Amino acid sequence: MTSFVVRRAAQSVVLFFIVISGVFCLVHLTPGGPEAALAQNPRVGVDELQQLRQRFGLNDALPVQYVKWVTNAAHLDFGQSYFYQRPATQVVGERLMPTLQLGLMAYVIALLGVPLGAVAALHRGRMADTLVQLIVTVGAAVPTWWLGLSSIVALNSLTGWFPNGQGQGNAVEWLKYIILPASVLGLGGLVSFARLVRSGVLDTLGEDFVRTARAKGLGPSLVASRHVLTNALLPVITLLGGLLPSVLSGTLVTEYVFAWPGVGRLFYEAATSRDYPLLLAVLTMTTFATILGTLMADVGYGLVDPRVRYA
Amino acid sequence: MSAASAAGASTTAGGKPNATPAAANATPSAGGALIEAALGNLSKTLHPYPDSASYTQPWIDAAALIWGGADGGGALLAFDWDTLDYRPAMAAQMPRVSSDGKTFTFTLRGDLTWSDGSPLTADDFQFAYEQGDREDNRYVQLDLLQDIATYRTPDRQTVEVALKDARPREVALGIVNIISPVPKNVWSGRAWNDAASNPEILHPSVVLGPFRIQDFLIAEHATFVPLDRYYLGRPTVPLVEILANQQPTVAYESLKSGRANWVHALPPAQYEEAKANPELSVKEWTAANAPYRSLEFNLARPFLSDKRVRQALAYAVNRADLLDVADQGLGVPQYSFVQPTNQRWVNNGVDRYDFDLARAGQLMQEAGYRLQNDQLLGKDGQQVRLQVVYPTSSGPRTRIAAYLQQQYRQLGIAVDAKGLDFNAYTDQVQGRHDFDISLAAYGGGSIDPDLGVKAQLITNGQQNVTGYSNPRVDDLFKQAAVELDSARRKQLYDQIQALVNADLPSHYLYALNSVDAFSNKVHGVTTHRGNRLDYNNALLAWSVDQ
Repeated sequence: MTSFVVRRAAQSVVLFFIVISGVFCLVHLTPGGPEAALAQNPRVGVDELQQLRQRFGLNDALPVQYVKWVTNAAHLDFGQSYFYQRPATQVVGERLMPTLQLGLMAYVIALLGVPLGAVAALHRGRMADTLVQLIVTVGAAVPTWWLGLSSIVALNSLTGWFPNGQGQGNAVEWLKYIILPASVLGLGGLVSFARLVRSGVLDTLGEDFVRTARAKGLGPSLVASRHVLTNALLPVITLLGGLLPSVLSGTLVTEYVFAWPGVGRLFYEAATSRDYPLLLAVLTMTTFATILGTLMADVGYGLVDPRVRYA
Repeated sequence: MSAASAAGASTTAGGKPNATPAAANATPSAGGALIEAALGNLSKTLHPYPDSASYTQPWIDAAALIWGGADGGGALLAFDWDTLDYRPAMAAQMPRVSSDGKTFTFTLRGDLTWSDGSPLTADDFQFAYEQGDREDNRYVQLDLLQDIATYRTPDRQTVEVALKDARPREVALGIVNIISPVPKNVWSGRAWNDAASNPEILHPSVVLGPFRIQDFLIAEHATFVPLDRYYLGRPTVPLVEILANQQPTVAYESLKSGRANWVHALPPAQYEEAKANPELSVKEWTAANAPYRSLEFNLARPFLSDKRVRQALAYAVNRADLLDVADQGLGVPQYSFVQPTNQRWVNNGVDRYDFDLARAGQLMQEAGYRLQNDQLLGKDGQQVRLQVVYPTSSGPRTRIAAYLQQQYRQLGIAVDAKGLDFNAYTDQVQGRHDFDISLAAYGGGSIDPDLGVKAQLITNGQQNVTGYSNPRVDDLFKQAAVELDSARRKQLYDQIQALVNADLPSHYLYALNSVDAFSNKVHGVTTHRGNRLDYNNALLAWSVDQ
């Protein structure tokens, strides 16, 4: 097991390096640098645009910029945001907590898909299954932005129950603000979990060991909890790992619609203004979270399924 | 930030006495808060002297509240958008001007104080000038400061500004008024541009007013509370809140639900419904400095270098239809580089190129292009193709591109509409000049052509994306920049407008209306001739029901 973990960790480090190098190049090769939008201002002359590029370190050759960036990033120094004029890590840090709150709450809501999927499978063809299938189908078909806007109109504007933005004050106030965006954000995960668990449970119900357990005289609930669910939940571990990056990086659409001050919106802002230090800080964090999530899922899978360690 | 930046100037003679808002002497009110659902970000800095990267509309809005504002009480003079002229603000009266027209002497009012109660003196102006004039401090309007020869403060109440050259009155007042005071006692010895070591940049502890910051969370919202000792009086509203980054539908819903009571720049999609809503009041006007849309032709392209071709392309556009299609009719046709509502400078006698498709086809034939099987054939026998570029962040410009595709198809021209994100668009148009027609939007700044539109039309001007070069136009702009006689100056700009429209490097389409929506609980809002409501002085007079 140790050699499996070490091998996967080493692969992850190499992958991380390759991805952030590619990201660095893509970001810098995108047309229109940070100074481009400022050229629209008649007060900003050509000389000043050149000075800006110089100040931002953009007149160096790309390989030189890359070496400087990697050297500094290794010390978690991503430079000063061009427009916030503060360290990029500081700006990202301020947005991380709202995103974590939203992401974790959405995660909790997404996990409701596990019992829903199990209930649907165990009551296949009956009312409970139909209801879950309806939720899953509608949840998968409705675009996030539409659902977000509709819920704001219905539950914010008309009733005033759930206000927009990030909550302040006590836990109830906090919950009133977060519940709508978290539900919208978590719905996608809930749908995936419910589908995966339902089909996993249905597959497992047909396995020989389940039939054996029943033949031994175990009750339906014991068979379901001990034999069916423990095996059906194995694929869910992969999905859990995949959710980590979205918890850390935020989701642009949800954050935009609900005016949630998180990393997703910061990423969009940095991308559209070509704030390279900020953009690269967010992307590095997201890349790290994605690779870490995948690694954790692999290791977790290896732990529960020994066959994976030798793959 | 001074009035010059956003206000510009006019040539009306003399300034009227300081128009203290009606609410200036009012006692604190128990009214409700003014809550704006803002579509954009909050400013990333509250520095009184921003650099070019920080000088944004959110900064201007925030500065209006804490530093007196662009057109309000934050400088020696304020630009009055009703009269389109300057009036005294922190100066007790209009300046004395030396006989050579170069030196302007201001006497400060005696009741100026900072938010902490310390006196605001000429030293604070001098300190601000010295900092703003330093190249390494990167002040966005440094170019205007370079027209100043000396900036002196002989005593605590007097500011004396000497220009290098005599300039027309409106331009000169814009320049000498560029400096807003900075609290020297607070900022002296601090890093001017390093937010990490100077907390004043993000959260100024001492401000001018009329408000001070209560809460400022860049990604969420900001709240401001009135100062008791602002020299123009205490604002009527007890609190101003700005909700940042509201999605347009959400902003409008917030207005309807009462969470907010003001949406600036109401999106056209919500306009009709807002007008019909009895709970809301929609203010709509076309400003003297209204933003406007135009087609920019790349004159370096052989096809477009022929004036008859550009004229044909202009005749093929129906401004009224386009205004309806792209901006829901919220604007007025514009025929030159000066907005039709800028009565001070507009020349109404220029060539208009009103819609005439037959004339457009005829001009193409005269230019040597023939129509065959509904295709306009170029001199190489291939169908003429045009690349129209625009920023995808602008819905109206996306619709204009689609309209042009249809209209120019009737001339036999194939249009490739290329939408780009804003920075890539700017880079393609201004950086690489790789386009045939650019869908541009200008305006919103000064009403004086010398302070704004000139950069688009003079040879190698900073915003001259068409490659237009006419020595006669360059010369007339030079003359107008130093012409001291207002009537003669108007004639010069009339000539320039006529010449530019005859050459047609750009085809001017229409000026846009400003549209703001309010809850009926907000009282005292009046529009004026600027494209944004007077965020500074107006707040002294507005009130909100509980």
